[in-house]
Amino acid sequence: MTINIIRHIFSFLLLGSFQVFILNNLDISSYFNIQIFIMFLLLLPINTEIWLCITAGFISGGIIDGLSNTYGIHAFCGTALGYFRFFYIKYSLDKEEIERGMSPNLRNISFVWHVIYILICSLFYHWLMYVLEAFQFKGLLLNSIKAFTSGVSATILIIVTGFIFSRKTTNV
Amino acid sequence: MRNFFLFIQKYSHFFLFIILESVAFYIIYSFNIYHHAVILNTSNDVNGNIIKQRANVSKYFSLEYQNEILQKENNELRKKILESYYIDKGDTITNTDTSFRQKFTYIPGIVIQNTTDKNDNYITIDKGTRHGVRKNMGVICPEGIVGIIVVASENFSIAMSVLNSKFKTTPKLAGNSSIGRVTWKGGSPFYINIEGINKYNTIKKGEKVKTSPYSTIFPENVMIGKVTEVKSSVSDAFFQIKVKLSTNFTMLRSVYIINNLQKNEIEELENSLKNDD
Repeated sequence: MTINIIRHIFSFLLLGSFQVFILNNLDISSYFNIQIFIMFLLLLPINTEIWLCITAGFISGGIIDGLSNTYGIHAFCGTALGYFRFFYIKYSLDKEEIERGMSPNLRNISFVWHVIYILICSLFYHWLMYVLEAFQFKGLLLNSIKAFTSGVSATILIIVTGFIFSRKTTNV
Repeated sequence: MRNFFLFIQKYSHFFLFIILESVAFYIIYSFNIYHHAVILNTSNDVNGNIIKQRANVSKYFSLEYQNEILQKENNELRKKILESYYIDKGDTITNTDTSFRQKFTYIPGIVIQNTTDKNDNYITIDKGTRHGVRKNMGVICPEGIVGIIVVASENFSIAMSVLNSKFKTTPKLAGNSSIGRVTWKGGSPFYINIEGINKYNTIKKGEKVKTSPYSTIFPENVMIGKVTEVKSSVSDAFFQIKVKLSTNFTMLRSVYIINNLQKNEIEELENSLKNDD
């Protein structure tokens, strides 16, 4: 268990560093503001307590905020994603499967479910982030398009990263 | 209380979520200049609109009070305009020619209340006993005869109009002696009748009808009207004469109340004759 916690913290540090030091400095286009650090949140064990999910979202988002001068936006979105993720898993998986408590990565769970799960959560996160950044209803459609392109890119990146790093785990 | 705690416990994750989101939002608000400005502007707009709407609604509740205030103010202003004053001098117009003895004096007055649509019409005038108005004084206007004062208070008096079934006076027809009596039987306020002139007299249409010299109430030759219709029937020994009044009672405004200075003397004389009988 402790190892698992350390492993998740470690994965967050890696993803966060990658996010802050590489992705944030790429400046490809405003259509590709990819947030890959959410992979850490998404791959928490599926039976994680809800309070832990949202707290983890808040803290990880807050750290990314602090390092990328966005002040609160990622903390807000991360908290929301933690909450969203909990209910998404609760209503899309069987109780037995949840009780197994594995990380919802490619090796532990069906590929389709995994892709849809990452895609929906990523779109949710990016949409919320773009809307919160713009902070007005004007240009909502454009921001939604940007959120879509960024969300899909992030999904691809997360799945690819998952392919490379994930391994079969059943323990919490 | 226990239920309350159970409720809190059951939805603790939701409250935690709300708290964390609020903290995040507070950070967004405090540290991002752009978000700060947008929130301030929006809240100002919203506040302004709410206050405006509230004022729009609440002003309806004070309409009655506002009306009262306006009415009071109107009253105050009305008191100050000229129409609210009347000349309290009670001017009496007198003839100062020394070769004549003054017989009539005139008290000018303003009609403040007048009816023409009743069987017995009365006129209220803004002069009373304080100005010298007494019962049984005649009232005329520049156009002609108006009526007779029936009651006078300190500041006001009421005159029986010609358009009153009890009004009686003797007319004088041009070229004829003063005979008959003027009466009004209701109906049009522009016409009156003359009764008691027998068929031996000749009455023409358009003849002027004036007050006779025999009256102690009206001076001689005050215009009453013009004959418009003369009827005679076989069964009746008298003419039925219709006279168009020279006075337009529907537009009556300025009148003169006539004070006959010799009236008391004449009446005393007449009374003494009656007593002797």
